[in-house]
Formats: sequence, structure tokens, C-alpha cells
Amino acid sequence: MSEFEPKIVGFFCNWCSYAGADLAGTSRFSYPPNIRIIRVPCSGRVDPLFVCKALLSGADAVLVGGCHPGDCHYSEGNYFARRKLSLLKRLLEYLGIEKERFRIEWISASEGNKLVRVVKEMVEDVKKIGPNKIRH
Amino acid sequence: MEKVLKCEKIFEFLEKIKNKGKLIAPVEEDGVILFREIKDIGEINLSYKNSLKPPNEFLFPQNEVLFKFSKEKGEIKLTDLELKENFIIFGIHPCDVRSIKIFDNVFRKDYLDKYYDERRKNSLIISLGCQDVDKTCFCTTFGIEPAFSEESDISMLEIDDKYYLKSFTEKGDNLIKEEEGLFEEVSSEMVSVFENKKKEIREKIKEKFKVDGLPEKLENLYDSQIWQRVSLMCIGCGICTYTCPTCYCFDIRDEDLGKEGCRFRCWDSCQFKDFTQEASGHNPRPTKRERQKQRYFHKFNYFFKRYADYACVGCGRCVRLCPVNIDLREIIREVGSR
Amino acid sequence: MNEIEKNLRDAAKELLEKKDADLIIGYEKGTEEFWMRPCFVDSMDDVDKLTFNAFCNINLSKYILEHKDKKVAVVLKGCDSKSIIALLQEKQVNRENVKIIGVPCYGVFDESLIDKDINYDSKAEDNMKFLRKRCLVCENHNPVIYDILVGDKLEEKVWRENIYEEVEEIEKKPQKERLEFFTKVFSRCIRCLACRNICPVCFCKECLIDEQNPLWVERKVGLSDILMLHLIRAVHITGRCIDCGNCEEVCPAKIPLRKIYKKMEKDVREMFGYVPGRNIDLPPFQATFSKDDKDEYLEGERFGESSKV
Repeated sequence: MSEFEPKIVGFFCNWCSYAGADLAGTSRFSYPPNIRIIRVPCSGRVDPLFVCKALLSGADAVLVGGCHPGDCHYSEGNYFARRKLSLLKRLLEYLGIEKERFRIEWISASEGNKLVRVVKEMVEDVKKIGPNKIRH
Repeated sequence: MEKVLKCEKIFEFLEKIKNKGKLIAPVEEDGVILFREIKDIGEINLSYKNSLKPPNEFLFPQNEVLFKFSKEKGEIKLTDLELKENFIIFGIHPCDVRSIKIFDNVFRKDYLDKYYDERRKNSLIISLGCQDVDKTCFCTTFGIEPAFSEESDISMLEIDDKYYLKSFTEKGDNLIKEEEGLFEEVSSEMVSVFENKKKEIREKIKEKFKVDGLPEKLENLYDSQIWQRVSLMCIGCGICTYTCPTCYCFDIRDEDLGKEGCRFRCWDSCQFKDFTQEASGHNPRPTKRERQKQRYFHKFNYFFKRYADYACVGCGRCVRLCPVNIDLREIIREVGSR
Repeated sequence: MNEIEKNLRDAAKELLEKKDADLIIGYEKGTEEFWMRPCFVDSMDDVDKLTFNAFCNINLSKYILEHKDKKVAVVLKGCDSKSIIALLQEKQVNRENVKIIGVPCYGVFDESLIDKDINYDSKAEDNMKFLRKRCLVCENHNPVIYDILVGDKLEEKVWRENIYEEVEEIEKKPQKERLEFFTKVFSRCIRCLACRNICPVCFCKECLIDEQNPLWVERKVGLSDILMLHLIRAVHITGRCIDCGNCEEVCPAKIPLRKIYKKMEKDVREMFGYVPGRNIDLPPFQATFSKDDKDEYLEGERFGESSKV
């Protein structure tokens, strides 16, 4: 009996979180392969509908990574992301989708270890709640 | 075959039917009547007036997979779908039964649609007559008897504490023979009570529209202001078409899931703007005026010319559910009077 | 004929005479009792079709967008007038070409709730239990924007104390129940898209729901497709919906859509202090942010029992 391996989709901003994931790799930190990372120019590019589409297409969870507020490469992108995604988070929970399935984190280019911690936590949390039943 | 079934035995009858195949019957959810596969007989609602989607959606589903495809080791594999399941649609009203006959013209006459045909062959239709009618019903306009259909496999009508049953096909005869023990014979009084009951229910429908000559009258009104007037109100949604038992337009699409997918067909609505949108960008029905006109012409002119039948059964769903009260009856009345 | 009707017809006649409007969009009696429907008057002969009573439910603002080439006058209740604010903020309406005939309104009846003798002259405030759910939480009985007011201004009072009661009822339920509830109600969706088409702030010429390239929603009625299209609506309506309630009213499957859109309204108000439909000078909500938005909002909400994993 194989254990359930969650599929996590990550939307990482090019300048901070993606670089952070890169750093985790070059530093040879090991983190679960459950996450599939999609690089976007800025967390502000993440349309809430990307998250919805991922979850409704079979992803068990979605992680959005952006620059810390104030450090956005495009100055304001992550402020828009913060607004849009906090509204989306509440909406998804309201609909009954478990809170563990969507997470937003500020991960800077030097925080490779934070990325590793966050991904490990998410995989554990999602393993506990099981696969996403609403799917294609 | 004619029989009588005591009302108190109806659930027993339904249990027996449920064991013969998938039972589809009306249930109520939040004030909406839906035809669904029944797991528990107790949830069946037989005193409804009109369902949301027409029950012939089980012969022509809103989504139907035509075949599946997948790529394995560089080869493309196609899988046909087997449609062998038997099902019984119970509690369908005479207007909706007529719509199945209308669909038979479309899917079985000039071209045999094997998907519809399989479902049709595997299904048994048990219709139930209306006890009460809605203010928007006008089935009698099309020669439909609201209390009793003669076009289903078995037809039933509740009269006092009994159901009067009659079968019209071999399939219906067989089912009655199989469950012989449940039924009683029809007495001679029952026959006249039955005729009276039919008349009583028929007379509840207030208006019967004149529909002879409608196709020709419509042709003369091709450029009429009627369509412009109607189109001003129309919001271009799909309610009238999706709830209509005689609407059958569909789209065929491929769903691509990477290494596998399927080709499926789905309901489409002539009221949607992109229904006739062409790849060049041209749209022969660019505004709601053309699309609304199309709807009436299709139902009362084009379809009639082809199959000598109107594509309308007077169920009243479009009248009752149109958000802005575009009333098909009003339009027929106006066209009929010209 | 009541006072409002008389004023309405007089205003219409004047607008047509002075050519201040080529088309008047109002309400007329429909084909069955208590059915009121949109009415389009472009000549003096038809002015007497215009009427108004507590059954006029459709939000007529959407129709303005189809007649941008003309001068139109439109009859708007308190709630409906708020949609014009959103349309003006987003520059969909040329203010000079639209004359707003405002009607102060205490509520509209829900035909399905009526169980005793009501007639066209019945007043909303005397028959509150037959009002639409939306009317019980109305914060603007008087139109917030108008050119002509055809009734006396009404005292602003919200009929129900807690306007987010319906939303809180759902928030209190545990996660599994919430999921079950929404799965059940959305499974009835037939994808008629009447909710989108009647909505005044859904005016995109190419809606994402219809878009083929990229394909956001496949044309299926599986749960994930239906939820996707409703989520597209919910995300795009955030901060713009003024709760006219038409989406839920026109839904043939009686899906309680307002439970979702009211939730968005509540969150936008509580988290970011924005209330749509009030101030034309504010930028559209979705184009704004504040450096003081709280990071902790990203953790979602701890409501009811859902915090128990």
C-alpha cells in the first residue's frame, strides 16, 4: 500500500522565492519532490484563478511564494498579491476547501531554508487531510 | 394491457422496478424538481408540476463522452464506450414524453445517432399523468393530453386511491407481466371514471393557442419588429434552451488532459453569442434579434417543414423561468393572430 | 395609479419631448400576475406602459450598456443605482448620455413567498416577510445617484440588524458541512449563465468562461467545471458587486449565489474597509492596495469549528 503523495503546485516569483528555491538546491538542502514549481515574474502576476484552476484540476495544494512586502522587484506587485490572495484564501475556506490546501508565504532569495521548512510542513499537513476530492 | 394498482402499493412497485435497472425519478431539492438516479424510494416526489431539466436528458445528456483516446508507447489508442446499462424513467409527464417522440425525429430518422439510439433502446418510459397544471402550461395546444400519455411504454394516472395503468409497447407489456401479482383488473366503472378524470385535468389548462398556419405566418414576419422588441429584453442566457425538452443543439469538443482525453458532446444554446461565431470573426447572427428570431423560426417553421411537427410541447418551462418574462405564448398568440 | 407611477410617466414624457432621452428603460406588467418585466419606451404613445410597484425586481442598469449609442433614461431603485457607481468608476457609462430616474424603495416582493392577499399597490414595509432576502439587508433605500427622483425620500433603516447573518450561518458550520452544502447546491447548476448575463458588473465582451484560448473552463457539468466558472465570477465580482440579488433570483436551479457574493462583500469591508457602490471618485477596488494591509490576513480565518483539524 503506497502512501498518498500530495501534488503541490507552487507559483514562485522570479526574483525572490524562485531564487530562494534555487539557493536551496545549490546548498544541497533536501526537500520533498511533491512540489512542482511554476516561475512567474512577480507574485502579483498570480491571478487568484490560477490557484482555483490548479486546485480544481487535481492539485492537492497550492503554494504561492513572493517577495517580502516592501522588497518587491516591481515595487508594488506583492501588495496587490497580498490583497487578492487573502481574499481568495477566505473564499476557498468558506467554500469548504481545507485551509491546508492553499498557502501564501514571503520567501526571499536568501531564505532557502525557509522554503525547505515551508514545503516540508505543507507536505505533512496535506498528507494528513488526504487527496483533493474535487477534481476533473 | 390495462391494469389497476392500489396507491398504497406504489412504493412496492417502485422497489421492484429499482431492481430491474437504474431507476430515474423526480426528487425535490430546495424547491427545485430534478430527475435523478434513485437510491432510496422515499425521496421520490410524484406530485410535482415541472422539473428543471427535461427528463429526456437521460437520452441526450448535457455531457456525453463519445470516445476516449490515449497515447501509449507512441501509439494512439481509441476506446469506444459501452452503453449497456438499462434504465427506467418513472414519473415523466405527458409533455416530456412527447418530447422524446420529437427527439426520435432528430436522432433516429434521417441519421441514426448511435448514442441516443442505445440509450433509447435500453430505457423504459413510465409516464405519470398530471394531477394539477401550472399557469404556464399549454400542452393541449399541441394535442397532448396532460392526464395521460399514449406515447410511453407504460402510462399511469392516479384516480382517487388507485392508479390506472396501461402499456403501449411490448417492453411495457413485459414489465406488467413480470409484476402481475401487484395489480388488479380494470372494472367497467373505472373506464368512465378515467375518462372523466382526463377531461377534468385537461380543462384546467386555460388557453389553447391556434397553431395551424403558424409556419406560413412566421415566414411573412421574417423582418418584423416583433423580434427587435423581444430582443431588447433578452439577456442572452441559456435558460429557455437548456430547460426546453425539444431543444437539441450540441457542440462537440475534445478534452485534452495531456496523455489522454476524450471527445464529448455538450449542450449548446443558440442564444449564446458565440453559437454561430465563425473562425473568420464573422457571425451570421450577430445580435439578439437574429438569435431570438431563430428560436421561434426553428420551433415553428424550420422543424415543422422538415418533420411535420412543432418543436414545442407546451411544458411552459421557458415561460416560467425566463428572467425577463419573454413569453413564447405571447409571441405565438401574436403571430397566430396576424 | 400610485404617486410614483404618475411622476414616472410625467418624467418620461418630459424627457422624450425635450429629446433629453431617446429611449426610456423601465418596467411594465408582464404576462402573469405579479410578473414585472423590463420595458423599452421610445415614443409618447408607449409611455403609459411604464409602471412601478413592489414587484419590480430586475436591475435595469445592465441594459444601458447595450445602448451606448443613444441617450437613455433608466428607472433605478436604491440598490440598482449602486451598480451605476461601479459602471462609472470603470468608465463603462458616459454620464452625459444617461438620465437616471431614481425610485426610493423599501423592498421588492419575492413571489414565491407570498401566501396571502397581496396586490400591486401593497407596500413593502407592511409585508416584510414576503420581501426578497436581499431587501432585508438593504443599506440604501434611496438611490445614491439620480437625475430625477420620482418618489419621496425614505428614511434609511436596515430591516435586519446583522446584514451578514446569512454569511455567518455558513461560517459557523464545520468544514465538511460547508463543502457538502456547496457541493450539493452547485451540482444543480445547468450552466445557463443567466447569473452572469443579468449582472450589471459582468460586462466583458469576451468572458473568461467562454474563452477558448486559454481554456479556463471546459464545457462540462462536472463539479470542478461548475465550481471553476462560479469562482471566476466570484473573483471578478469582488469589490464590485452591490448585492442587487438578481443573480440568485434568476437562477433556475435556485442556487443561493448571494451566500458567496455577500461573503466577498463582507471580507472586502472588514479587511480593507471598502464598500462598493458609494463613491464615484474612488478607484475600482481591484486596482487598489495599501501598504498597511495585514500579513495575518494571508492565514485565512479561524471560524467556527474549522480551526479544529
